[in-house]
Amino acid sequence: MEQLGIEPSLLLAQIINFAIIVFVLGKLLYKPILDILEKRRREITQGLELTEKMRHEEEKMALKREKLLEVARRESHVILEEARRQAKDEEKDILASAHQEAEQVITKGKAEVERLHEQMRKDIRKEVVELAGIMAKMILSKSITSGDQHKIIQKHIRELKTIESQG
Amino acid sequence: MTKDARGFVDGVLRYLKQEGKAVSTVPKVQSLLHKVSAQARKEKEAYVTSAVALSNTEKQDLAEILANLIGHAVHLETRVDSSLVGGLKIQVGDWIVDTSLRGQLESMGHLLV
Repeated sequence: MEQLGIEPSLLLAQIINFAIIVFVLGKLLYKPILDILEKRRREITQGLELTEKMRHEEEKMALKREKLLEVARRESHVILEEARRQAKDEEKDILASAHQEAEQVITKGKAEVERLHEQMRKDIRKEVVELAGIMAKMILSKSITSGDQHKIIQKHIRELKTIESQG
Repeated sequence: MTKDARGFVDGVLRYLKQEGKAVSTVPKVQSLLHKVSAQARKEKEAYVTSAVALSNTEKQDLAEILANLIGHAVHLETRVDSSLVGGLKIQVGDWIVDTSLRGQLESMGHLLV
């Protein structure tokens, strides 16, 4: 060793020094750094776990949202269908009601026309009969002679006599 | 009756036949002779209206008939009303017999209307 220029005592002293330095550094510096690194590693791990958890949560929320949307879509569809059905029913009711009213108006109109027609017929008939009566009186007054008048009177007297004799 | 009057009467009778009223429309003297009322039996005056003046024979015949119907003799009050057209109208109290052509035409009119 001496031929190599290495002093054993010096080497020993240096080894001891190195050991002391390693010990001191191990106690004072290396361990805190390891602790810090460990802590950082744990924090990163926790962060990753949290991120993963959040992603899961987000996926769950997305699924839930999708389900809710689907339910809402279905409900809105049902509501829309119901509204359409009600609208159709109301339309049918309104049409039926309008149809019925129209029928009533037509029936009433027909009855009124019939009544007016009948009334007109009666009025015309009355006027014709009155006119015929007047004409008959006029014609008979002019055409019945005095002889005819007495024939009628005597006929009525004969009839009265017959009735009187029967009674 | 003249030809026109006969034509008119025939026309009316044809119409009545079509309407089915020919039998019932023209009243006969018998149907016009209602039962003599109690009040009429107490009356002593009979009013007879005719389209032309009655002859004495007609008056006498009527007086006899009315006396038999009412039950005692009545005094005949006659008067002429040309609006009757023909026939007679007799009134004793509230008892009235109208055999005048005007009355018959009016009855026909009422039935036809």
